[in-house]
Amino acid sequence: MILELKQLNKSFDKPVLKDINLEIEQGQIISILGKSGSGKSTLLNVIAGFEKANSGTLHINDQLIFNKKKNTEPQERNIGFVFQNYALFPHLTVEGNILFGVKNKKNKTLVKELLEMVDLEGSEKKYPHELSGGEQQRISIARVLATDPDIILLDEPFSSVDTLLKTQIEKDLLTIIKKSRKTAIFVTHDPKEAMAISDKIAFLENGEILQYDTPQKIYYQPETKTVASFFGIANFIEEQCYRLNQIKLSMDEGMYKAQVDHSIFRGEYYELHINVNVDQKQYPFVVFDYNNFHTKESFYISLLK
Amino acid sequence: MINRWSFFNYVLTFIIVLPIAFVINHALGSETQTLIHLKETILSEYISSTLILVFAVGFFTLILGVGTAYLTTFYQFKFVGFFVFALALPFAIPTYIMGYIYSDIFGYFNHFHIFLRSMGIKEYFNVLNIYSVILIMSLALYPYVYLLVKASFEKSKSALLNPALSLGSSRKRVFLKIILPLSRPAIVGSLALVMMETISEYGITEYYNIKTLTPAIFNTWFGLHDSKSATYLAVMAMLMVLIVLSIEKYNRGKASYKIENSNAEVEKQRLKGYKLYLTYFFLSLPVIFGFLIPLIWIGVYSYEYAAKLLDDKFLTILTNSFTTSILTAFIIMVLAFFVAYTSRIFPTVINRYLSKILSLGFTMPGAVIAIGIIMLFTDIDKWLIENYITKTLFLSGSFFTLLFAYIVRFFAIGVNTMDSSFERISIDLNKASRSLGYSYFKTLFKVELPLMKNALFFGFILVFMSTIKELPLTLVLRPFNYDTLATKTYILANAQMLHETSIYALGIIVISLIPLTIIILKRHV
Repeated sequence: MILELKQLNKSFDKPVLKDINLEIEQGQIISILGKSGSGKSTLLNVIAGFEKANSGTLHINDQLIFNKKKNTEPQERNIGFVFQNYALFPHLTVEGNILFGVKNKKNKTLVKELLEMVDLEGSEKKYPHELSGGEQQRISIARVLATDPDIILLDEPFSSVDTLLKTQIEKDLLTIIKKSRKTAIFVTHDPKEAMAISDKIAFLENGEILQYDTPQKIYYQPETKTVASFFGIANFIEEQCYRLNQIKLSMDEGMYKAQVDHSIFRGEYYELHINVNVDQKQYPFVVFDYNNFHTKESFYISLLK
Repeated sequence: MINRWSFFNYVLTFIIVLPIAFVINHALGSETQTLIHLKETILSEYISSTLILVFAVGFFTLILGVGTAYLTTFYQFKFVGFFVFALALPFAIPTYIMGYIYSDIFGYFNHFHIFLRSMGIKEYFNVLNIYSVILIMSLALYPYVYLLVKASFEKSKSALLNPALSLGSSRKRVFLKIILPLSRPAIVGSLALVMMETISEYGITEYYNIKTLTPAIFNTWFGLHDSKSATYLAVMAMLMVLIVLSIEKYNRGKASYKIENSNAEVEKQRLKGYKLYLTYFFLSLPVIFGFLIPLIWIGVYSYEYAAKLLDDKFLTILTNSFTTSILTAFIIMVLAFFVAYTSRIFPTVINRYLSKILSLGFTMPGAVIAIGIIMLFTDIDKWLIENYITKTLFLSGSFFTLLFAYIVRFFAIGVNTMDSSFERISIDLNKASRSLGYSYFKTLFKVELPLMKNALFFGFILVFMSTIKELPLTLVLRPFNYDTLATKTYILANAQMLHETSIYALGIIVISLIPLTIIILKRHV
């Protein structure tokens, strides 16, 4: 186990993290997902050692890093931290930044290797302000990789990137991390991003981990309604959640009869708000269709497992 | 949890606050005969003349400072660049030197009256009164208001003038309804500085025989040897400062005055006709009377006395001033760097309050600090002798005493420049360095220090300038026969050798002008 958190608690004025348990295996990419104020950045800071937990234990690479009696300083935890604003040292060149945490300050080969890895060959002598946002981010990852950390922590790495570039940078970053075979923990508030990049997602709400699962499982089998609705449109019959792609519409036949309440034009499709009739009970659903339906029109739906 | 960093802060705060605590403690004792006498006779005069001086100087600096800042920020005319620079220059001339110069110019046998007599006017105008002191102090102190308010005007102008104009307001309305209210913290803050300087002013009030609290503290202590009454007066002066400070604090209230930085170019209005001439007249007044005339006076007499006074003694005094000021500035900047860094990495409530407490010395009149330190060090010396650790006075009258006094007095300058400079550097850089394997201590030198070189230099210069000009503390606490440019000027002036002060005054002004120029040019060019 590369990282193990047990019963971790942290409070400032009020509790921010409550009984956090988390296990991460070598090479996994994990997302900590939640709304702002859910405690996700605090959790990352506690793992990095920038904040001290009030109780619980933390092991990195099977070594005790934190408990009630022991608290290893951040500089001795062998973690890499990629900051939201990249936090490159403005007074140092790209090379200076990359070699900052390395003992051998003349290790040109390492710089070259890493710059190749992040696709920025030849920018050794540039200063951070001469680089674009995306380039700065890649340098900040190279800087972290240079110290060969056990785990890389990334705090909202895509939040300051505009939407058009995001997909590309997401892909680049993932490629770099996969190539380096490092364990990585992302903090994000974007469920789509979390699903696209992670092996497992820890969903955090009010300082508690509500669910810790693979993206597929957390999407199709959410354990609570909060988790379900955070990942997109979720329709429920009693406790069972149905996603859009699990619902089939038909005019002629199907499992249940449904009646349109109202529809909203969304350009490529219509968003239909319908009432589904199951065993004499009405359940409100939201479904998409290419065709428009008028209020009170009815059709059939089938649910896939 | 107390860590090493915070512990260092606590100890330093304790040491720096100790002298002030001594004064308060001593003053709380029972009333002495002199004190009763003071209360019955002249205490009300001390307080009323201090109040008159504070409010009158506040009023004139407000008009001069805000007026000059307004004209140079919002209007375009020939030589505006020159005025932006020249209006800050009176800062280089200490108030007491300005006072000596004008008392000489208006002396019975001198320039002004010779001129009057040549015109057939036989009347004598005595300038040794409170009205002249008000005018002179306003000329010497308005740059505080000018510089701070101008910076605030510039900022709100480039961020908000165009948006406000586009909403259909006139320029006048925008200034009165938006820019002026937004600059209120700068105005009140700089006025508070002026008022505190006025309360603690010693050289000029003493020379012009104005019975304010600060000279009264010294006279009661050294003239009447009545420490109880002196500390009582000191507490009075402290209370006045606290009132000024609480007004400033109250004024800030809850409203946010934060303005986003903007580099928007805003067109200045051109001035024409009589308005232009009025502007020139108004801007020239403080430059001529606050800088040009004193400079000419100093130049003329320095030239006259150069041969007689430029000797080894002058050189020794110059060296004294230089070494004490450089040493003070160096020690303060090093300590302030660590103090500010501690509240950066451990931003606890206590640490934030500590940097406020550490700044107390700057708000307290020099006289209060002086007698506080005398009392403190006398007690320590007594204890040392009683316990046979030393045989003679060890601390009292030593160079260390003077240095300590300067540190207490000017620590605020250092800590404030450091705090605001740290604020501009993201804390993430510090975290990044630590996650890359560096301790707090190493990070300080590898990351923050290189990024703060300019701010450290700036703070160093500010402390250096303040120390060179400092008079009352130096006068009271300097070692026997140890003179600085400031004390020598004072001593010569009080021995009625006004013209001989010129060369020492020149020393102070030249030394202050160089860094002042650097600072102004860096800001505005």
